[in-house]
Formats: sequence, structure tokens, C-alpha cells
Amino acid sequence: MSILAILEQRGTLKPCALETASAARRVARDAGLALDAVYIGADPGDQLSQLAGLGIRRLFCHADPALEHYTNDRHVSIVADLVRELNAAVVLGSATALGKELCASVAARLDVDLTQDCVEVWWDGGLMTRKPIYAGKVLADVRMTHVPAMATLRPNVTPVERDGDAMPEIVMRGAPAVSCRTELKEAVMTAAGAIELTEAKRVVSGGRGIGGPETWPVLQALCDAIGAALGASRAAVDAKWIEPSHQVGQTGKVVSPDLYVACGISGAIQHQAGMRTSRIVVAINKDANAPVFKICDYGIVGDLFEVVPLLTRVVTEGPKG
Amino acid sequence: MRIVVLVKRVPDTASVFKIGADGKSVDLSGLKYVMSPYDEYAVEEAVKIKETGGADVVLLGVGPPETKDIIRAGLAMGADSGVLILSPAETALTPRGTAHALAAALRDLAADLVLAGKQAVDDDASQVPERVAELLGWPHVSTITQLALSGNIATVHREIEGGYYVYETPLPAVFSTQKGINVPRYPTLPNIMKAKKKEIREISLDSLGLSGAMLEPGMSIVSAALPRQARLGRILEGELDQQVRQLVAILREQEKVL
Amino acid sequence: MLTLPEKVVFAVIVAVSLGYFTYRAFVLVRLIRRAGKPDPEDRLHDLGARMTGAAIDVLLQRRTFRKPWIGSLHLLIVWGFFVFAVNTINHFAGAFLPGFNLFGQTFLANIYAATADLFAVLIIAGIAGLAFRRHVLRPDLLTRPSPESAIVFTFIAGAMAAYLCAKATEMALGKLPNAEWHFVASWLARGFAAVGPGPLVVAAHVAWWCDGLMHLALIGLLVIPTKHVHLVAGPFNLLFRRFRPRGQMTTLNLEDENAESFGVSRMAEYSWKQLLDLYACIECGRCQEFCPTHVSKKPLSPKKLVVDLKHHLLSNASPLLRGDETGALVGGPIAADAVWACTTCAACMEHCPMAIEHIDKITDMRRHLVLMESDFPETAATAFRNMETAGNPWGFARNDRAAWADGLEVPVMAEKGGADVLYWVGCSGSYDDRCKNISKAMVRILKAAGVDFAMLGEEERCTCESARRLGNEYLFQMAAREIAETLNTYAFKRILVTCPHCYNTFKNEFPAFGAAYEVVHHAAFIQEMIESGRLNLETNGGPLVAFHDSCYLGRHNGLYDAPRRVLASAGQKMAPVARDREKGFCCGAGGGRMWLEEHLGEPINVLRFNELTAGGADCIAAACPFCITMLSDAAKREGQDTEVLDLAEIVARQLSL
Repeated sequence: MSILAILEQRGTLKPCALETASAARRVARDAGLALDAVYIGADPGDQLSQLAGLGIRRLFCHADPALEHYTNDRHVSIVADLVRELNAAVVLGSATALGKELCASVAARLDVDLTQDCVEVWWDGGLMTRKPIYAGKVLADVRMTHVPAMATLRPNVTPVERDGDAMPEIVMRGAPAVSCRTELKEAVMTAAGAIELTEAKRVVSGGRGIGGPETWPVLQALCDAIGAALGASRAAVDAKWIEPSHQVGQTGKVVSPDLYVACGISGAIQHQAGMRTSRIVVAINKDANAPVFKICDYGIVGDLFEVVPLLTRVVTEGPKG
Repeated sequence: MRIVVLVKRVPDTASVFKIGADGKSVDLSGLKYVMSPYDEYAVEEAVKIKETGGADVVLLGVGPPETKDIIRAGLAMGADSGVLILSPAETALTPRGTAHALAAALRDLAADLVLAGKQAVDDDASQVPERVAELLGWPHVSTITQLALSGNIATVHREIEGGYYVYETPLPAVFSTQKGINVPRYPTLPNIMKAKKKEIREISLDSLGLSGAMLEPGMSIVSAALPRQARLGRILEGELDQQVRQLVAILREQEKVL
Repeated sequence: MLTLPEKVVFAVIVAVSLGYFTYRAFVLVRLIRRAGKPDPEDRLHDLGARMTGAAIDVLLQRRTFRKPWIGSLHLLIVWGFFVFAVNTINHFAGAFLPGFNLFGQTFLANIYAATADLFAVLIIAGIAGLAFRRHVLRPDLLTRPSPESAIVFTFIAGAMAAYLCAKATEMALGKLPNAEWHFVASWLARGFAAVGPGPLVVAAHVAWWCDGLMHLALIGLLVIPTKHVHLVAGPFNLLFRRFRPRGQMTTLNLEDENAESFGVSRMAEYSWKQLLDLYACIECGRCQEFCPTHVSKKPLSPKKLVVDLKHHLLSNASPLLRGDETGALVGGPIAADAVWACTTCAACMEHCPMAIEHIDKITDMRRHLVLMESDFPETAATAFRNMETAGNPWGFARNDRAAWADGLEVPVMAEKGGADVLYWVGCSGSYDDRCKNISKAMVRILKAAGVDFAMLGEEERCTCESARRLGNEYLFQMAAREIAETLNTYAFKRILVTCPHCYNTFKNEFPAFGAAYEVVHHAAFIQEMIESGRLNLETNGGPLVAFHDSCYLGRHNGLYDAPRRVLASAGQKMAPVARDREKGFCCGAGGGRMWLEEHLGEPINVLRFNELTAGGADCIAAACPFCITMLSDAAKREGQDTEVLDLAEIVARQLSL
């Protein structure tokens, strides 16, 4: 019996895979079980060196060109079979778009319950998970009682912990002999800087404080640094400083990112209506009395042309998320 | 062609939520209910297919009798009929149990295509459509932002971080919809009126022949808390440089949004 | 004096003309009756008042006198028309019965002779004045070029000149009875003194024929029709004018199973009265003069709307009379942009001399687009959904509606059960941070005046007034019934509102849905409190204040004085405002436009803001949360720190401690 961590890759091992491994390691330690992991992809090259010191006992490496991109039939088959083989007590994956699909399918195949998108998992006589529900307004602690207990972990919330540099035992395996009903035709990556506003996880918006049509690069640099989409308040759009497609508000786009940075925006109700469901709101404005400071979580009173470049610099310096 | 769309009745998440006295349930009294927004995209997609190529669109849901209200809203968008698996509010069906019920009902519905929202906005379980597909033995793709049908082959765009994949899959299949696939229509008055007369068949959970094990929950909420209902409103202080560093540290380590 | 051939020819011409005119008149009337649906208002109700009003408007030109010079000139022409009616009869009858005079040989005939001469001159003067205005002064609101107007001017003036010449030549020939009473013709006759008898007779006949034919032409111009038809259509339109409140939209019976369609998509779906409006339009342009969308250079002009509809009606007369379907209006003669641009401010209806009802034509088109086709601006859909689910247009939490009152100890109806005054806070007052201050000020005032009041708190929900203006009748009716149900469970004497839109809806529209309550707007309420001594205000002056009249308070419901008295009682010094009261310029948010994008033309609120501050005011006062929001926005846009305050906030500041 062991804990199984699913390590996601897309070309390279994703950072969230290491986070999931770390979380699984802590669970394994508290449960008194070993930690195994599975990697599914094309030839991993020297990727696996990143697994040093994470406390993984065995890594089941399914490497085959056919496995380069995610397909349900193959990936689910590999994981489900492995779970049965290991008699896994807990299965942890990453709550990415593909990770969630994979784990939901595996859970169905094994006929066990599953908690998706947890912000924390721990062991307390069984797997405990903590996840946001009701649009993040309620945080629920859920006890999983099936075996295996399954959960997916939200990326960017778990620290990666290493202890020493021991590598796992690598068990090489190939692609499963299953027919694949769903064929991947094309993998399209969108260019950086062109993140679509309504689906973005992070948004940086500029308002009247922008002052003109040429100063957007200041905000765009921050967008690039943190992987955010660029938004604007109605004031900036009305002044014709930016196209209406960037407008966030009652009569623009309604966004609900994890992080919303409002720069030089006063925060009137029409703008609020477009971003009030954002998880965290940061406001930067040189007017300390601007209404936006009442609707933000964190605020900096200052000139955005000083604050934003500073922010960009600090973010780029530190470890990337 | 028959399209079945899975729909769920959820509270309006714009509401202010309170935790019940037991410390683990959410106080649902006085809340307004709607169709889960991601399901609306699924209904709209089904109606669009109906409008271009012809199809019979059936809405299928699990829940208390009030679920008929949101099924009616879907019928007003253009769906043809509804099926409601009655499950009283007290029945604690996990997503797994829900999927068993839906799959059982689907076996009698002869669907060619099943659409659903990628997640319900109350529990954000994000797994029911995938489970239903597995139980039926059908291929499935989640989080789709585009769907095109050509004969019996579906070509979909599925969203991933930083881009999208284009998949081809034969029908019957299950797809879960992501925001942006379409703009759900505002129903016209004639359609609202017509919807009042469309059939919503009610079936009991018992009649589906599910075993106790299938419906038995393997997870339970042991406690619930309100993380933050109001904005913090914390204005940072000190030298500008310090403030910015402090902000980044908070966003990275505490809030975990960077 | 006509020769026999002349008489025969004239008889034939008259017969044929009158026959044709009658036929055309019947066609025009039949067109309205065939194509027009029944009108929801009983247009014969209160007939006495209707006739009196119409008579005053026609005979005293009450509406045209809003522009005194124009009114005077037109008055001359109108009276001239009535006066000349007698002469026209005399003239035509006189072709066959020489010397025919309605007044016979009495003294009246002499008086009439002088009067007719005088009016001939006055009419020419009137025409000259109006022609000068149109073709030389060229005000923006009059269409140019206008061949129609030029032709009508020519024929009226021509007919008068012909009349004078006819009389003058007759006089010169010695054949005119009451000659000495025709003092103008006498003076003209001197010019003919030198002409020999031969050419004089010819001149007399020519003048006579010109006189007769021009009169016939004028009747013809009526029935073609040109806008000259307002001579007949206008008085009838005034007779059938709107008596029900201006701010009251008609209630559609959405349960009607036989109804194929709701709202208006084609000409034949308008009511007969709405079609009569089109005939009555004289294209004077007073509607567009104060129209905020027109002034801000958007594609809607109420005049263009009415004229385009009129042309569409007339050019489709044949199929409409047959009962055939005609083309869609929106996307046809009317642009979709024009339909959505209207703020329903009623400046058009206020200033129209012919009592045309512009707003309903637009909202009827909106109703069709929303209810039947779901074809409307996307941002409105968001507002509709939010109003339905969250009970407010922004989608804020329903159960958070009373949070603004935390710590203020505002009584809630559910706990209190009843009160004298039900304070209806409204969506802006509940959720908009800026407008919450208005609610807080109102509460301070209510407490200071010792009023027994309570609010509904979380039981309150949006009246969906703006949804109704946008055409979403279904949503509005649902909200109305829900509100009626809630209100009917409590005991209170009247409802206090701080929003003119809520005021208008409670007063004029909700009674049809079972919520018939007395409602008072806070301007009137505060005035009442002051005048009854329940409120004492400091009157130390503040900055110069420009008061902005809200459309739904002023033009729609006639409340112009109450807010001014309140401000005066609060010791405020008032700055002059160029367009105020009935001429008040809209802030741009009405008609549901608060929820729509303003892409075209100039921003209405900025125009108004600059106008309000032009008189030197440092502070703008208003009594409507929409106006406050729009004007505050405008101040920011213009980089001004002008204060924009609600009446309640100003009064609360002046409450004696």
C-alpha cells in the first residue's frame, strides 16, 4: 500500500507536479506509508533529476511518443491500473485542466469519491482535504473515506520541500495497449501577452490614472511578469486610450480572476460590478480617498508610474510562481 | 440527433453565505437559486446545434422538486423537454452518487451527445460529466471552448493553461463546457411561454436500480468556515519599496495568487 | 363676373378637385383605421376637457407660444385661416352666384371686408416672417432644403396676394360692393387706376382665377398629404392627446394566448393614435431641440423618427390598406442605434406643439426587440439577469441589501410590522457606495423630523423600471407583482423614495399590478417637513448651487418647485442654469441607458455638467441617484472637483444640532 502522486508534464515537468509530490510526501509521512509517483509523457530526458530529495520511493515512468500529449483513454488506463497494482491508499493529482479531467475519470473507473481543487491536504487517520466552495466564499474541510482517497491540489498553494537529494527508483514502462477513441489533432499555445481577459487568472487594469494612450507598456510589463491579462476601466476606454475590448465593468467584461490589480482606477460601482468577484483585489492609486481602497484587499497609495515598475521588478526578481 | 444536457440547481453565488449552527453546513435559507452558469453554456451549445442541424434537446438533472424551475429556464432557451431525478435536499449525494444516477437515467435516453457545464458553482466538484462518461463507457473531453459536429465526429477545442488542444472524437461522447464557448441567449417571451407547456418527466431515485454502495458517500464535510466575506481593505505603509516587497510577499506566500 | 365658359371650367375643376380631395381624405383616414390597432387609452374620456384644451391650443396657439415670436406669427396665420374661411366660401359660391356674401348686405359684411383685408396683410407678414426664419436665419431644427415648405409659403402668400389683387381690380372696375371697407384693396386699387378697362378686366379675371386655384391648391396640399395636413390632423391629435400620466407605459397582457406578437415591429402594429401622430407632425423640430441624444450628435432625432415613420406609412399605404404585411421597421426606415439611444426624457413630448407621443413609439419597438427577438445590447442582458436573480442591476448579494444601514439603527418592516412611512431605499441607495450617503442622509433627516418610518431591508428588490423602459415588460411585471405581494403584507400610510424613477413607477405604474400606494419623493417630503416645522435647518450659506432638474421628477411628474424650495429653505444660493425646468437637459441615464454603452456622439452627461457649471456654481444639486452618478462621472472626466450632492445630503448638512 502506498501513496500515489501523479506528476503532470507538458513538455517539461510542471512546477505544480513538484508541489503535489511535496504535499503527497507529507501525507505519506503522517500515514506511515511510502510515496510512489507516476510520470506519463514522451522521453523525459533529464527532467526526472528535478525529483531529487522529494521523498519519492518509486517513480513509474511511462515514456512513449504516443503519450506526449494527454489522451483520456491512455492516461486513465495507466493510472487506474497502477492504483490497483499498488493498492494505493491515497491518490493525489494537480488541479490543472488536464489533471482534473484525469483524476475524475480515474475516480469513476475505481468508483471512489474525489475532491478537486484543494488548497490543502493532510492526514488525520485518513485523508483530509480543504477546498473552497460557493465561489470561494466558503472553505470546507472534507474527510475522504474511500480507498483510495483521491484529491487534486490547486497549483501555486503548496511549498516544494526537499530533504537531501536522493532520487526515486525509476521503473520504466511503456504505453498501454488500449485503443484511443479521442485523437489529438493540434496543440495550440497562445502567445504570451495575449491572455484573454475573461478567462484570465490574473488581471492588471488601468484607469484614468494612466493619463494617455502611450503609457500602457508600464502595465503590460507587469502583465507579462505575472502572466496576467490587461484590462481597463471605462474612463480609459472613453478617453480612447485603449480599445473597448479591454474594458472591465458593468458595460464591459465581467471578470473573476484570482488576482485583480487596479491601477489608477477610482473604483466606482460600474467598475466594481465587473470585477467584484475577484478573489484578491490590489489597488494602486495616488488618491488615498479613492473608493477603490474600500473594495480592495491590499492597497498602496502612490503614483502607479512609480509603484508598478517597482512591482514588476520585485516580482521578476523572486522565485517564479 | 438527441442531445442530453446535464443541469444543476445551485444557489446564486452572489449571495452572502452563512455557516449553519452545526459548523459544517451552509445556511441555504432565503437564497435565490439559478441554473449553474456553466450549465447555461452547455444548454446554449445544444440549442445552437438544434438550430443549425436539428436535434432533440433533453435537460437532465438530479435534485429536489424545485429543480424544475431551472429546467424550465433551460426549456425557455430552446431545449425540448426535461427529466428530473428526484432527490430530496437531505439526500447527501456526492458527485459520484449523482453521476451514477445520471448515467442510469441516460441509459434509457438514447443520447448521441451529452453536454454539461465543467463544474457546478456550489460545490465546484468538476467531475460529474467525466464520471458519467466513464460509467457509460463513452469518450469525453472537458472544458471545451468550441464544438463542431461533422456527421458522427465531434471536433472540440479544450482549454488548457496557456492554450488549447484540438481533439476529434466519435459520438456518442460527453463534453463539459467552459465559459467563452458561446453567449447564452436571453430567452424570448414566446419561448418562456412555450417552456411552461414542455414536459418535465420526474423519476424517483429508487426507480433507477442503483445499489446502496453506489449512493453511499465516500466523503463528508466535517467543518466549514467563511474565509473572508468582506475585503480586507488593508492599506500598506512605509517606504514605497518596502510596501511593494511586502505586497509581493503577501500575494505569493499568504494569498498564493502569484 | 365670370363668363359662362369660365363658370363651366371652374365648376368642372372644383368638382373634380373636391372629388379627388374627398377621395384622398378618405384614404388617409382609412389608412389609420385599417393599419392602426386600438389604442390602450380611451381617447374620448373626459371629452369636455379635451375639447377645451384643444380649442385653447388651436385658437390661442398656447403651445407654439413657447417661442413667443414664432407663436405670434403663427397665430396670425391661424386666425387668418379662420377669417378667410368665410371669404373662400364667398369666393367659390360667388363664381356662380355673383355678389354672394355669407354676411349678405349687412353691416357685418362691411366689418368682414375690413377684417379680411387686414388679415390678408397679416398673413403675408406672418408667412414672410416664418419664411425668413426658415430660409434666411436657418435654425438647426428646421429641415433644409424644404421644397414642401417653400411651396406652402408660396401658395398661402400667393393666395392672399391674389385675393387683394382680385378685390383691387374689381374695385378699379367699379364692381366691388363694400369697396370703401376694403381698405387695403382700396389702396392697391389706386395702382390699377392707370390701367385701361380692357387689360383691367383681364387682370381681374386672372386675379380671380389665381385666388381660386391657389385656394384649391392649398386644400390639395393638405390631402397629398404634405405636412400641411396638420391643419386637420393637428386639432384632432390635440383632441385625442394623452391624458394618462406621461411616465406611464402601457401594460401588455403577456398572458394573452391569441397575441401573435408583442411590441411593434411593423407599421400595422402601432395604434391608430400613434399613426395620427405622424400626420400631425409639422416637422418643426422643437422635439429635437432639447433632445439629449440629438444634441449630443447621436443618430436619434425624434423629428427624424416621426418623419421617417410617416414616410414609411405613406409609401406603404397600398399594402397597408390591403392588409398585407409590410417591412420591418428596425433595420428598415429606423436604425437600431436610434431605438436604443433614447433616454425617455420626454423633452420631445413636452415641447411638441401637436402633442405627438414620441416615447411610446420607441419603447414599443424596444418591446418587440427584447420580448420577441431577444435582439438587444448585450450589456442589457447582464442587467436583466442581475435584476431577476439578485434583485439589483449590478448583481450584488440580495441578502446584503441592508448592509448600508449597519449601525444606523434603521427600523425594518419585518420586525416592526408597520409604520407611517415606508422608506423605499432603492438599488443605488442600497448598493452604490456613493449613493449610500444619500440614504444615510435621508435617515438622519427622518430621525431629526421624528418620522415613524421603516425600510424593507432585504425584502426590497429592484422595481425593474429601467428594464421596462428597455422593453423587458416580462421582467418588469414579475417584479411588480412580487413587490405588490411584499408591500401588501405591511401597514403603512405612504412610501418615501429618493429616486424619481422609483417615484414614477410607484405612482403611475405599480397600481396596475396591485400596489396602489401613496408615494412621495424626498424633495416633496422634505419640503413638507420643513413647512410643518418638523425640520429646522441652518441657513448659513454654502457654495453657489446649480440645481439639475431630473427628467422623471420634472417633465414626467411635474415636480419642479419642491426641490427649489427645499434648497432655498436650506439657505442655498442658486446659480442660473441655462436649460432648466421644462427645458431641463437630461443627464443621459434614463430609458435604461444607465446599463448601456454610449459609443456614439458626445457624452450627454459631460454636456450637461459643463452647462450646469457655466453659471459659476461650485456645487451641483440633484434629486436622483442616476443624475448624481452621471454628473459625478462627468466631473471626473472633466477633471473638475465640483461637488455633486443630493438634496438629502445638502439638507442633512444643514440640520440644526
